[in-house]
Amino acid sequence: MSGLANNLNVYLSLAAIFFGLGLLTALTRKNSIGIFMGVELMLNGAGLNFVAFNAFLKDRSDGWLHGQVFSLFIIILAAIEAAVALAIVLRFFGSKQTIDPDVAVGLRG
Amino acid sequence: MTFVDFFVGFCFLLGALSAVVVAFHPNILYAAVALVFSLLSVAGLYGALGADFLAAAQLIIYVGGIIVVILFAVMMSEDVYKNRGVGGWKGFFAPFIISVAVLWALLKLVNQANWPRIDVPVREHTVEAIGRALVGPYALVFQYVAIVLLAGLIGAVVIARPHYHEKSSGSNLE
Amino acid sequence: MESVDPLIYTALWIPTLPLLAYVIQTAFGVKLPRMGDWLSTGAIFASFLLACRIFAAMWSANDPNWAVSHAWKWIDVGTETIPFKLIVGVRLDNIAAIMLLMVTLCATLIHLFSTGYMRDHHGKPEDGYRYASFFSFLSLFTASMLGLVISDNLLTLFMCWELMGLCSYLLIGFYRHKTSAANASLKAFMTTRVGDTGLFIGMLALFGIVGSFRFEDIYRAVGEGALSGQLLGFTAAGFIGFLIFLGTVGKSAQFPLQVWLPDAMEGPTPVSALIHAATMVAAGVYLIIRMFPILEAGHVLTLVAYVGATTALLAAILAIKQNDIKKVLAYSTLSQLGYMVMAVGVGAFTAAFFHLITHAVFKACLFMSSGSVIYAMHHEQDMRNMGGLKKKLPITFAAMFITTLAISGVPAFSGFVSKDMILAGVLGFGFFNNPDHMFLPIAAFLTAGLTAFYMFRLIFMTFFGKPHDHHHYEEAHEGGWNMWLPLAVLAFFSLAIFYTGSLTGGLFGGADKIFGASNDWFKNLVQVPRLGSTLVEAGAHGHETGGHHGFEHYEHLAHMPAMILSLILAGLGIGVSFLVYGSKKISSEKLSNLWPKFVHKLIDNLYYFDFFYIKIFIQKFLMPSADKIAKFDDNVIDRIVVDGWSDVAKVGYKSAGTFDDVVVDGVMVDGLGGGIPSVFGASLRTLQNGKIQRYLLVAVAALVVLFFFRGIL
Repeated sequence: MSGLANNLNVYLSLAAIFFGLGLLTALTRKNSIGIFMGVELMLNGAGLNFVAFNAFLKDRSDGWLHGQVFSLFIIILAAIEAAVALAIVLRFFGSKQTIDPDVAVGLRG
Repeated sequence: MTFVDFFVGFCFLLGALSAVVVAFHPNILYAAVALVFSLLSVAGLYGALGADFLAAAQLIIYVGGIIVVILFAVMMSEDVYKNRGVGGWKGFFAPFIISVAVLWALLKLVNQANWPRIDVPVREHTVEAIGRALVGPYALVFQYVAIVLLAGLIGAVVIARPHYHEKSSGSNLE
Repeated sequence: MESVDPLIYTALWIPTLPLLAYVIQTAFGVKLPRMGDWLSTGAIFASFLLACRIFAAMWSANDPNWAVSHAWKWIDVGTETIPFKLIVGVRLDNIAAIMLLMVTLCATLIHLFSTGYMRDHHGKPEDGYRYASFFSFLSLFTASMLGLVISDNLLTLFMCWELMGLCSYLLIGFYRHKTSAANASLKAFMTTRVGDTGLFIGMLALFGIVGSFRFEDIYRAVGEGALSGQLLGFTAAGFIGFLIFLGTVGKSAQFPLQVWLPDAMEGPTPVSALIHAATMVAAGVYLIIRMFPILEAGHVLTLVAYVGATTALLAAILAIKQNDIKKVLAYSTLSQLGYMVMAVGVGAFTAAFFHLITHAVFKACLFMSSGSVIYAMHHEQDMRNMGGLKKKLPITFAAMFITTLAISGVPAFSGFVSKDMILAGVLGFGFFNNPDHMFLPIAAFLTAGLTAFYMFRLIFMTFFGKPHDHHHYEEAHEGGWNMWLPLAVLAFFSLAIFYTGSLTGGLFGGADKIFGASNDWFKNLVQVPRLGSTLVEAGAHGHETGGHHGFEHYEHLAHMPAMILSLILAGLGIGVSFLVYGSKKISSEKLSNLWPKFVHKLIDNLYYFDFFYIKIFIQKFLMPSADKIAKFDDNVIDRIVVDGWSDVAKVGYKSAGTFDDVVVDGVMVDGLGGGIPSVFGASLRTLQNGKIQRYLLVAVAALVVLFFFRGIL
């Protein structure tokens, strides 16, 4: 009964903390890389959620590791995102000499 | 309190603390290093949950790959020691309130529910099961992700390529 | 898998072909021979042939309830308790088949006409190869209109609807180097957006109640009374019906959002023919025809009728004083659209759709004829500089004369039959059925007379009399076959014989029926959609008499007087027009001096709608409140909550001082478009500062609000 390893709340709480703090990072950093780090943190929270549910609801999943597969896809997409984000940051830095996201206001219309 | 319990608790604390550092440390370089530790803790929890393949993938792709890319970008793009990374407290206030509200709502949701408990997460090798899933029910998604990866990489190259939009004017690229 | 009727695939190809043409044209248009105009035209012509096939299938079925439909599951997520399922598909019924034929026919001819009219843009690099993009836009536009027609649900209908909005923006602003054209395109886009927002909210509310976007499900739900509940203090059907009608008000340029359509004449003339006569504005009427049961169940039909009647009358009055040949046609389009909306409002469902079709045909012809005149006169649009063109442009004259007869309601032409049906419906509704609503028939008959008057004024000023500009006159000549053939075809189809009488047994067997229009196929095939098993209670919208039969009875009763009255008024209009502009027995100055000064002032200023929207609503009301909000931000919110808002707001306000009408129009619609009072519009504008983190913050804040209301926080 007791113990941390077999308590789903532990995993989900950490996932929630990752998500909340990642959100805060993404919202406040005056640095494109910082925003990107926040997003990574949020993605990890989501992945942790998937894997935790996968482990705890195994008997309902017909033997397929659905949660783990989803988590794997998240990792793959995060890798793509990293590549594209780095390219954009470099490009942006090349033209504006800064990576402050507040400089990028082309969407203002 | 078994070793696994201790390990999970350790990962939890490590992850939570380093996430706090990621969010609040004014120096982006420190934050990036702290991100390494939070990603490591996630890898540890994957291991504790019996997802050995994912734990390895997390280590290799995230800690080994993405973090390096992030650090690389930080180093390349800005004078990291001059930029404090966060704005003044005024710009911090509204996002802080909102993020804490989201965090609190999530934690409340998590701890309200009556989750199923298992004795100890079953540990077995998952590589084969994941492989079967990827060519079974997820075959289409797998292919799709592959295409997205390809498109993303090409896009990244095109974006990062210098002066690509000036190629008609005969730049130094040709 | 159940078998699918092959007609469904035929129908799917109809919008797909122009869409493919659009894609190819966009990618390779410049490189194709003749810049690909043959590709777009050929694609739409192929669609026309397919539409003929569908029409033939409908014709041989000859059943008012003929319908072929097939639906595909698009999205199916959610649980049993919270279902979220989107089913979209194709539905072909009599209305859709007739619409398809009309749209493809008009679009084909307009494409053909454009190959002549737009020749000035032929492959000139300094024009940015705009000839190619013109045809790609036309193709996209046609594809979205056709997609709208075959949709069996509001969702894909709305998608196509918005696509058309985009295309109208692109096409109206086609002469982008002209400031007036750029302004007009933005005005059209933004003004219709006001209505679209209403439509979208209405759609979502409807989906929330019915759980489906499909027409069939909606009709069934209406029939079962699922929409009789309350929604924000109104009946659900009334609320939703009103919002959906807003979409029509925007798209079909009804009062009070009619301001954009006359300005939209800045576009090339084929565009005016396609968008502002035959298809896009017709889409609005098509929508209320499709949504007729909801409008009826919601008791909003009376409002619809009044909006239509007001539009019809006001626009007809404006048309009298216009001197720009296209402006006359623009106002006459407005007026005729008002007619259709009014017809829907009084329950004359068939008549509204009938007039939609006949009007599309003759108005497309009128616009293209005017295009032919403008082309011949080297882009001279002022009728006062024309005159005597009858000899120079015989085919154009003949086509325009025939279609003018049609729009004026002269017997044996299509306009007479459809207009007569509308007038009978309105008279039956307003005179015999509900004497409270006398305004409707009066407005309708006045408009009928005015229409005949201003249309013949146009004919007399353009084609008769002496030429005013001899230089242009001598050079005037007909365009090539690709310019006169469309006119001839459409003028041919403006004859009443195609819409009345029985085409199946003996072409002229029902010659007597042409005048009475009592036994036409149109009336047999186009009927109010069935709600499950019972017909809609047509008279049940808040008036004492119930039942469709009651309405038909009154319509029948009113038929004879309506016909006689409309004939008298049309004759009167034509006669006065002849006396004033034809034989010049009455001087036009004297006629205009009959009216007091303020009437002229009112008309010259277009009833001060633009003045109200721009000068009062935006500059006096919206901009100052933006200033107040900026100050509020500065002093109160900013110091505590958010950094950077005030700067943005201040900058926004400073630049507001130099905003030209374009931006002003845009802001006006920002405020209106949200359906929110202008104060909110202005404060939302300060949120829209382009900073990505601010956008994210707002989105997450909305999430927190949602948490709060769900009791999680």
